[in-house]
Amino acid sequence: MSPSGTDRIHNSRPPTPPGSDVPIGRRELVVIAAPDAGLQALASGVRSDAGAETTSLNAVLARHGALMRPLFGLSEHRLRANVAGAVTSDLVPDGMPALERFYHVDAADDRLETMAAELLEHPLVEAAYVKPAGALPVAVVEEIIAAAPLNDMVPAPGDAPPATPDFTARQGYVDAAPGGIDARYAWTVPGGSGAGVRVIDCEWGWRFSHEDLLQNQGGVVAGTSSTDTNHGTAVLGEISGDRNGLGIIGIAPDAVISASSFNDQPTAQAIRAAADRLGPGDIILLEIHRPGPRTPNPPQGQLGFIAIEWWPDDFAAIRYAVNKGIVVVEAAGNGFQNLDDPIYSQRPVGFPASWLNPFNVANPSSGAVMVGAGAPPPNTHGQNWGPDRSRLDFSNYGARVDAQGWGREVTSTGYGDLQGGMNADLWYTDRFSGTSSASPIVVGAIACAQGVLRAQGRIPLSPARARDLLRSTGSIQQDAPGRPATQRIGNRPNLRQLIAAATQTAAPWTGVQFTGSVPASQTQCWFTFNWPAHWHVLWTVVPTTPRPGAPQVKWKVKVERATDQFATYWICVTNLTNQPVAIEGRYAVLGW
Amino acid sequence: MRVGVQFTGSLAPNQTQRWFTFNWPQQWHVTWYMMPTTPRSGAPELEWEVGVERADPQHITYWLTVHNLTNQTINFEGRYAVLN
Repeated sequence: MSPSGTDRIHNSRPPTPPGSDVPIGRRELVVIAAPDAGLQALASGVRSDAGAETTSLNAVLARHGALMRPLFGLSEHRLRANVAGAVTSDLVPDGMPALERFYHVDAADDRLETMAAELLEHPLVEAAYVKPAGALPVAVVEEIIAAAPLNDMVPAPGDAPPATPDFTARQGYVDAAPGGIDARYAWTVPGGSGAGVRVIDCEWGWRFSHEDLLQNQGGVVAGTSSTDTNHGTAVLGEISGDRNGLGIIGIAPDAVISASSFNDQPTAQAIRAAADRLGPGDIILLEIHRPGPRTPNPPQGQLGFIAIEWWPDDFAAIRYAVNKGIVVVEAAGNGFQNLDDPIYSQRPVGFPASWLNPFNVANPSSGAVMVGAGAPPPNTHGQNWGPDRSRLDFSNYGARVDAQGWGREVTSTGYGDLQGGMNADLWYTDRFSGTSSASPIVVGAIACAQGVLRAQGRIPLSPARARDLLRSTGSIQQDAPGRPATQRIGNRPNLRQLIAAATQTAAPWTGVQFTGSVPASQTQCWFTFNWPAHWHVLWTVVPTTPRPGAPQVKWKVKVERATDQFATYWICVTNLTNQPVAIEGRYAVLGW
Repeated sequence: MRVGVQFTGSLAPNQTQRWFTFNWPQQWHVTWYMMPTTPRSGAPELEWEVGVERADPQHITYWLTVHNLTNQTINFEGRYAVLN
């Protein structure tokens, strides 16, 4: 299955499951220190700034020949101290551990479970769990779950022609809605090719030397690339393939795309490293899923694999990026799973007590855009995968999933089944698939919309606003036999609608939100909630009790981000007189 | 009327910090307000004060003092509106 000329480099890791031919990660032992432990992991061992006894903890590590180090890469002190810079320590929801309390334990794979159990007993440890190895959301075992294989393409024999043909007519996903996302329309709008937008793809390997990926790319910015590069190369092409008249074109060819590797970094660290290189409105793509509680033992392909936000450290890393205003797009996974299944609310042994199932939309959210895989229009490339926009059988689904992209028949760079030959820099595919191929389509759509906003000097979409607009616009999911649209994977983006919604403006408007009375010389506070957080709101207070000759009130505005979507305003009014005063609280919505 | 985000910042628990932004044309009527990007429900997270400096006849510098009211690190946006 491997293309000739490439090597697998994971020979020190668990073997790749039969039926897949893609990189897989290592299993990871993650430890979360108790809140008051004050741990500091040094080369000489672990010590406690709080003066707690660490000899027994070091003894556990020594017995297993293990090393404990901060999961998010920086030392605990740097994570705590660098608050005013790009790195902040505890940008996670209430009750979730701060980043400096997460540790990665380097140890032999066969000792991880034993170590987790021993560490969990230690008073300085709040949580300890083994994360299954992550994998690319690409492959399933068809004989077990009756799905056609994904991404098993091999390069076509023979040399590539002297000049690569124009394959863009095969990229139906860039065409008009509902079949595509109408990227062709976006390209006619200033900024609509993604200019000024940065994207970082987090996975294993890429081929940045490909002939169609030479423009607007930043290479691997964190970690090192695997030599197994087809998957990442196909992802890059979908998003930011060059506009050069040959091969394919990316949905957002002017966006600058880079990569952060899971190849030699823990997944959470790779996500944080990507976030530290981006700013508000930029995009991180997570091309990974891992085995969840419904994964059979022994594993059957990728049955039961789920999105990685379910694990506390990956959730914290995503939340860290989202809190910086970065839009994180996450593959829902190819595990045939209903993410609304109650099993996903059962807290695994070793997870922190504060953990809540992030797939339950009533719980605190990672804030990521989660993407499922939908069928392309029938007869795309002569294939029929069911009604257009219906859920593909392997795609995870549920209320948590925000949007869908093509999960089959995606023409892009890499693999070599469309154009092969000896030189992998000339390879193209007609059959990239999975939530792997679906997620970059949504990334591309967001990049186009962000580029339009930037070109207009407007504020980029926040992660919450991006999710809202992807849910409220687009081409709706269709039923398929046995896969009704109630098995939610969301809408396919429609850039004509998405750009219109993102750039919509309204004339400022004003109103009176509340009235009240403040006793003499007292301060009284009102709060008002469910204000869309992207609205720019100005608050003023005026007395309605006439009293000439001196000021009657002053006020102070405080603000709370209650959720990603909504803000609560607290208006505290001080009566400057010695008599009660009636007031009205006024607002002006200035725009967004 | 136009609105925007001039800067993003981060404050440690209970920290107060001041930012300044300069070269704003004096004829622009500008108002400033903050918005946390770290959700934390149940209580106010930030309050702020605006100071102003006439740096030269044509330009204004705004000084924005932001206070984190919580015991958690808070990320936020420094937002503005030009009203005329």
